[in-house]
Amino acid sequence: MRDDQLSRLFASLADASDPDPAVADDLFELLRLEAAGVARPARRPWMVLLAAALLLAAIGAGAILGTGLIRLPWLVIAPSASAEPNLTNSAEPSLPVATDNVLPVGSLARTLTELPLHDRPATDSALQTLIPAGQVVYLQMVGEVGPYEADGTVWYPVAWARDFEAWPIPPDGGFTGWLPVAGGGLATVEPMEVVCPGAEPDAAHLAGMTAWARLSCHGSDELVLDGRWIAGNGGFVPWTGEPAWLVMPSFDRAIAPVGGGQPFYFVTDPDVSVDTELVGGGAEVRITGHFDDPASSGCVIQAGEPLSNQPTASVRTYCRERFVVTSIEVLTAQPGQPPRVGSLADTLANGIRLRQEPGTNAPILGTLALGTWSYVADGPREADGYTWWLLAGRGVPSQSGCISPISTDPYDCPVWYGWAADASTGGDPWLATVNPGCPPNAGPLTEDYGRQPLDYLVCFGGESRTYVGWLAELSSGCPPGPVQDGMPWLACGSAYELLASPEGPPGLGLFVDPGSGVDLDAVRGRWVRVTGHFDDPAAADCTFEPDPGYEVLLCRSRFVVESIEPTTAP
Amino acid sequence: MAIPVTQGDQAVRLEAIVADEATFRAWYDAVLPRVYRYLLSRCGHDVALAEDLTQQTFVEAIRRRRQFDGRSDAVTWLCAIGRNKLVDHFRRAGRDQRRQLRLLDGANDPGNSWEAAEIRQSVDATLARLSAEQRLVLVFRYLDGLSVREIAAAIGRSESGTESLLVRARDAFRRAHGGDPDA
Repeated sequence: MRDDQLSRLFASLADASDPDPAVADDLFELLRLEAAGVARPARRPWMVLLAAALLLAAIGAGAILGTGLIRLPWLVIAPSASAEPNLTNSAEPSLPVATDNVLPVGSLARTLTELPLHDRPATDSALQTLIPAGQVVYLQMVGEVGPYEADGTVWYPVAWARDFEAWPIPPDGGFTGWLPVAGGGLATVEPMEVVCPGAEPDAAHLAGMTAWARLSCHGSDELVLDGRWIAGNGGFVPWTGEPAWLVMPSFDRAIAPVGGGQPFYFVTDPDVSVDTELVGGGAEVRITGHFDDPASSGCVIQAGEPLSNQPTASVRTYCRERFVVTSIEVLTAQPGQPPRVGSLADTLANGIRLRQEPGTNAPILGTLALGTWSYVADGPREADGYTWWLLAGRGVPSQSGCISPISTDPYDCPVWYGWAADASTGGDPWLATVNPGCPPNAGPLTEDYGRQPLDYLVCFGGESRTYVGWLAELSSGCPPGPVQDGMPWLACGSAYELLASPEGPPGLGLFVDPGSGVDLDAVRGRWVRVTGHFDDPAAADCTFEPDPGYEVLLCRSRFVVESIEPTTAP
Repeated sequence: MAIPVTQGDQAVRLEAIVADEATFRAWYDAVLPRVYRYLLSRCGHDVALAEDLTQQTFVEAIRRRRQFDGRSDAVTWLCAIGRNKLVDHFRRAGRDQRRQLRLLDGANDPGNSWEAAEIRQSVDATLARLSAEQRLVLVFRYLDGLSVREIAAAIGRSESGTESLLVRARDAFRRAHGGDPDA
C-alpha cells in the first residue's frame, strides 16, 4: 500500500463534529478563571525577586546607616532629593519609545505621581490599582515584552507591591500590569540610579546582580573571574537567532565559586577553543571576558521565535548583557575520571558511537558529539578490547525546546540509550565523569528546576528534600487518586502536579503514591511545604517498550511526595 | 474589538485577548471547534476522550499563553499541545488493550456520506487492531502529514527508532486491512 493510498484512507478520519455547547461553556468558565489567575499565582520572573531582595536589603541598609544614600556591596539606589515628587519635578520632559538607555527593561524606576496600573497597554483597559507617588516599580524582563506606545502614552510592563513589604508577591497581593511611564510630554517615573562598587567583582557578585546592573557597572571592561567550571551543553533552546553563540542561551557555560554558590553564566567567543578534556571534569579556571561585546550590534532573533517580536534594541540589549569570555586559563586541571554508574559522563571526542549492546558488532544506534553529557546507567562491561558503559540522554527539561546546538546524530533532543566505549584501545579517553553543578544542599527551588530529569538522580539520589511552592488549584496532569488504567502511578507522561516556585516557572512536578495517604486536594491553592524524594523504588514498574531501562530511569527522576503541609508565603 | 498595541505578535495578542472577556470568548468560540475536531478524529471518535483532551489542551495553552512562540497560528499551536496530550494519553492507555479497543470504537459522524463513513469505520477498525503507538505514528504521518523527525520529537523517540516503528506500523496496517493492493 503506497503512501498516497494511506493518506487518502486516513483522510476519512477527519471529523466535522462540533463540541457539546454545554461542555464548551463549562470549559470556557474554567479557562476564564485560569486566565484571571484564580487558579494559580501570577508569573514572577526571578529577576523581579532579585530586584526586590536587593531593594529590601538596600532599604534595610539605608535605615541602619541613617543616611539618604542606601548602599549595598555592589548596587546602590539613590532616591530622589525631592520629598514630594510630582510631574513637574521630572528633569526629562518626555521619553522615546525606544527607551533602552533611559528606562532599561530589567531595571527599577520610581513613580513621580500616583499612576494607574492597567491590564493592557491602553487607557480604556481595566484598572488594576493605583500606585502612589514615590513607589518603586520593576520594569519587567525582556521576555515580558514592551514597552509600547498607545493612546499617546508610553507603556511598560511592570511589577509592583506596596512598599515591597509583601515580596515575594502572594497570590492575593501585589500586581503586575501595564504602567504609563510617560504621556502628554511628561515622564511619570524616573529611573533609579545604579551606583557600582569600585572593587573588581568576582563571579559570585556578578551572579547576584541583575543583568542590567552588570552592564551598567562594567560596560565593556575586561574582567577576570576565577571559579569552578560547572556547565556544558544544556540542550535548552527557547529560541534561535544570530549570532547563535551570543543570542542562544543553550551555548551558555558557567563557573561557580570554588566553595559553592550561585553559578555565573557566560558564553565563549567563537575564536576561543575550549579544552573539554581539561575543564570538563570541573576544573578551577580563570576566565577573562567582558559585557557589551561588539557582536551585540548584529543580534537578531529568528523571525517567528518567541522573542522575535522584541524591539531590535531590546534584543541587542539582551546580547550586550551577556558575558563574553575571550580567554580561559586552567588553574587546576581536573584529570579525566572514568565514568561511573549514577554520574554524568562527558564525551571527549566527536562521533562517539552508541550501540545496542556492548561490543563492536552490535548495531549502532547513533553517535554523540564532543561535549555531550549523558547519564551513566550501567557498566562497565568488557567486550572486544573496550570498556563499555550504558549511556542515557538526560531527558528534556520541562517547557524547554528540543533542539541541541551540538550535531549529535540522530538525536535532536537529549534522549538516547545505548552503550559506548570509554577509551580507544590506545588509551585515549573518550568519556570522563563530569560535575553537573549540583546545589550544595537543599536550597531554593530555582537551583533545582529546569534541570534535565536525570540530573536529579546524579545530584540527589534518593535523599529527602523539602521545597516551598504554590500548589495549583487545579490538577495539572494525571488525575489524583487511584492508579489509572493499570499504569504505574509514576509513569504519568507529564508532571503529575506542578509545584510552582516562588522564584518563577517552571516549578517541579510532584508525584504521589496512591497508597501513601498524601492528600494534595486538602492543600490546593495554597503555599505548601513539600518533603519528598527522587529515585523511588516504584520506578521499577515503569518498564515500557522499546527502552524499558530508559523509562525506569525517567521514573526514578521524578519527585515523590512524602508529606505536604500548608505554609506561609516565602 | 481592536487591541490598541502597535507592536507585537500572536503571543501579545493572545495575552491581550485573554485579558478582555468578550474578546476571549469570541476567540474561544472560533478556535474551539477546530481543536476539538482535530482531537476527535485522532482518538477514535471517542467524544468523552476528545472533550477531556480538549480541556487539557486549552488549560495548558492559557497557562502558557506568554510562551506561545508565534511560529504558527493559534490553532496550530493548540493542536501541537493537543498532540502531546494525545501522546501522553496513548502511553497511559498503552498497557490496557481493552481500553485501546474502546478508544477506536466510536460513533460515526452522521454528517458524512455513507461511503465515507464506511471507509472511516474500516480504517478505525483496522487501527483498533494495532498497538497504541503504531496507531499514533500512522495518524501523525498520514493524517497530520508530519515528517519522521517531527513524529520522533512528538513521541520522544530517535528518528531511526521512529522510522522502524513506522515501517512496522505500515506493515501491520496493511496486513490488518486485507493485504497490500500493490502486492
